[in-house]
Amino acid sequence: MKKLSLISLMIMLTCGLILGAYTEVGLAASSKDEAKTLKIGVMAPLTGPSSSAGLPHSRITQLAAEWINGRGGITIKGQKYVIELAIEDEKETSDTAITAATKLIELHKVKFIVGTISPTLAAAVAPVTEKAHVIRSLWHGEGAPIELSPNTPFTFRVPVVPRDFAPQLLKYLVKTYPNAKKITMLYIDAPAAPFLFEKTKQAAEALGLNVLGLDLYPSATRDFYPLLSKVLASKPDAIYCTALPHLMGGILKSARELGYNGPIFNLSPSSPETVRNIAGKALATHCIVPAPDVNSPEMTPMIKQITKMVLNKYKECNSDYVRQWDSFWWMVQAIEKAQNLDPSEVAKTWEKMDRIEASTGTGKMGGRQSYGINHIGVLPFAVTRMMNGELEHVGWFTPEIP
Amino acid sequence: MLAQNLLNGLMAGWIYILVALGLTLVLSIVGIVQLAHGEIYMVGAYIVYYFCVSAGLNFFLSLLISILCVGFLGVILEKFFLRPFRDDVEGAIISTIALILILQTAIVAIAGVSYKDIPSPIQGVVKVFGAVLSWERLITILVSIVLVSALLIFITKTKIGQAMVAVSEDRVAAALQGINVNRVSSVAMFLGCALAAAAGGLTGAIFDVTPFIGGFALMKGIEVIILGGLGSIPGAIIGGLILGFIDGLVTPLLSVQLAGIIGLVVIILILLFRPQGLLGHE
Repeated sequence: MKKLSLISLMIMLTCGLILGAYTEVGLAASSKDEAKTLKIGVMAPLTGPSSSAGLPHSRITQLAAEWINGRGGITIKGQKYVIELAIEDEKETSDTAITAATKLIELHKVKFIVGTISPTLAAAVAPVTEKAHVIRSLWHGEGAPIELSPNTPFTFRVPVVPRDFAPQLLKYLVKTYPNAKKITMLYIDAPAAPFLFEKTKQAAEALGLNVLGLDLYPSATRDFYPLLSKVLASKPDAIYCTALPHLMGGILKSARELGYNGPIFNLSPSSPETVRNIAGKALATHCIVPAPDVNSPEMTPMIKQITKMVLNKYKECNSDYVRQWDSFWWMVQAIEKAQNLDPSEVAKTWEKMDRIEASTGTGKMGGRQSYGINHIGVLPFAVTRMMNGELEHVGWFTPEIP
Repeated sequence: MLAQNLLNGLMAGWIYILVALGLTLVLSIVGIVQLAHGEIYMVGAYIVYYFCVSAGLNFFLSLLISILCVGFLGVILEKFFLRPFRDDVEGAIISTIALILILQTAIVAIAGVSYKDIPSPIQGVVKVFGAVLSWERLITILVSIVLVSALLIFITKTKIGQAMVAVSEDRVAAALQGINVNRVSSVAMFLGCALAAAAGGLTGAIFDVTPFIGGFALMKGIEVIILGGLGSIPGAIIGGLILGFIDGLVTPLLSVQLAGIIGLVVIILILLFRPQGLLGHE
């Protein structure tokens, strides 16, 4: 009986030790890994015509969040945070974008938002996010004051936009096509178009180019023959456009069919693969876009990694996906650098960051002189040229945004 | 320059005619404004894309398959989505809006939202009086003329075509004469959807294809049938050509935006003097 009690005691002791050890490990692990959640809002057009751009934006942000969480999330003052996304459909109009922003702020209580797809929506949503002191990292823009200015101290923009692509692409024209002297512009009819035209015109004239004029077209345009008949009558040596990928494909195809052989530049970063597919390989030549060919061996290791992740998950990848990685990643880096979740503190830190890792290399913040606020991402961008149906990586450029 | 602008207008006009004819057929015979007509046009383009690109079939064979498939789809839609609401305007509006959402969402789910391109059936350009036209555009004009001519012959020379005319003029009287109104409605929907599919497939080779191209087609189709006269086939042809030539001639002289405005001003002016449209009935 005594022997049995001893055995029972030893079993209980062993169990207790194991359980205790397990519990201790468990508790230790729990206290070390007990991560809090940081909710970040995402606004993108997920339905309607702009969803062809909005869905890749939303998807790449989800991948970026998974990637960051997979690396342990972010640490602020010793506390781990995993990122949780609250995604809202901003659709196409100012009303729907304002509703999406309000929902993110009021219902999801987010202090950080990535989003608004266009300058018009950026301007519409600004009063909501600025009043709530919510940091917003814009997807796109033209570079006009309506999107971002000293009046929007909580708004940032990372991706390079047409205004800042233009000087580099004009210099490229002068260098690569020295006989081109007369250029014309063909922009989407948007509130920022006249501003962008003036900026591009100034940069072109500074390089000794003659600007013939500006034609605007609605984003719903499908047939470019009539408009290009007018544009080509002025005999331009080069055409600079702002165009979504399918529109650029249509412009390129129509211009070539109408007999125009000169270079055509897109100031919008449209996916070169999509442009080439819509124009057709036979007509895709001397077309230059400030966007990467994600399949080029010249891509950075990060872009190669992102491309692989996107392909694994979504079975398709182009530059529309890759471009928006940094809109989210830079904001997360700024939060971590600030070691604070207060948007005012994050904004102060972010605007001073002079070295930020980007998928395209290393960047910094800029824009104090040119935009009146140091909230603009200055990061390398790739330029791709279509030549005889093939995509050529022209090189990496860095915008000058003082 | 003038020849080029006229050709541009001609090509735009024939596309508008193809879309508008289907819309006007359904309106006059089924008695419903088929708001999902643009989505039928879009589905036609996607079917051509899949047979052409995925199955590797010839463009014209793919176009024929698309015309037939979408025509039969139209027969099914007419039976379940339009016929029950023939005398119920609100119900018809809700039903056709639902159809827009169903078709658009189905295509988004199946094909995604990325831009698709249908390979050109024949590459290169043709020069006509100093103007340039791609082969795709020339084919579009020729196929449109053939289809519209075939439709006119069908309506004027066949018994079912005459029955369609009778139903469009007075459905009750036609029924009293022994015409099977339901069968005529099905045929009208088949033809209307087949024409929309032809327009979608032909323009898909010229432009791009996305799940959202239907809105523009519907808008232009409605403009054309209002201008030409509700239910009038010759009116739709004339209306389509007028709007096409306005697009082709005004855009190069002024701007894309003004071409759109002038088109609408012309419609308003004509409606002021002929509220029934150019060739519509009182």
